[in-house]
Amino acid sequence: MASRVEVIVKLLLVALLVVAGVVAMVPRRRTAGRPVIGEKLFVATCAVGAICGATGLVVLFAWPQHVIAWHLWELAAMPLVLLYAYWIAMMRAAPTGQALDDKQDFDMTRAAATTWGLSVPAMCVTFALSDKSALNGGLWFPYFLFVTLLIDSGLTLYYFKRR
Amino acid sequence: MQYIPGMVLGNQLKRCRFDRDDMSQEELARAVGVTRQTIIAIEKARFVPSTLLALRLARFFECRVEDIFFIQGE
Repeated sequence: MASRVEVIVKLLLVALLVVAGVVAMVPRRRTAGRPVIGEKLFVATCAVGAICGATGLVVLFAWPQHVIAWHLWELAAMPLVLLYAYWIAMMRAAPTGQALDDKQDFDMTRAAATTWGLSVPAMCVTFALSDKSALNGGLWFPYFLFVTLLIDSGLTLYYFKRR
Repeated sequence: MQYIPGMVLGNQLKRCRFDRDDMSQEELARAVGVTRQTIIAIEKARFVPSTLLALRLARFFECRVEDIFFIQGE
């Protein structure tokens, strides 16, 4: 049972990575004078990032014994990987090489800095409680990835939409 | 975005839009190549645009940068 799930997930991941690669490599028409990463795509990416982060954490605590063996954490992050592949395709079409507008750039930077600041105490607390939690060995990496992904995506969306 | 202590960058962007046939924020955003959220944030003085964007806005409205942006209290 475990090996069959593992094989299916691996095949799915490889197929999705191939799709992501193709999407990233597809040449696009240059879009002079317009924001390359438009508002809808930017908001969608932040929302998908937050959902992937939350899903990854749920999966991590629901099936800690399978999350690495069945590649569930890679699967949880895959929607965002696909979206970033699309970003790469769009950025390749940017005439000046700058894909984000001033505020998107600023909001992402601010969210990244805040995430870094918040991730340190979050990891400290988790580390202090690690004896009682299911987190051990290789689970630390996906845990860190999904915590920071959730905070960073959520904060970027908040800063971008704040009126 | 740069902040200088004690200085706030004001702007006449909303008035410029209204003078231009009540242009919407979305239309202006498209015209200068940014998102609508950026225009909203600049109008509310919550975001200081780059020199490049300020020049693009001035060029679009066919005026000087100082006609759109000013230091509040000066």
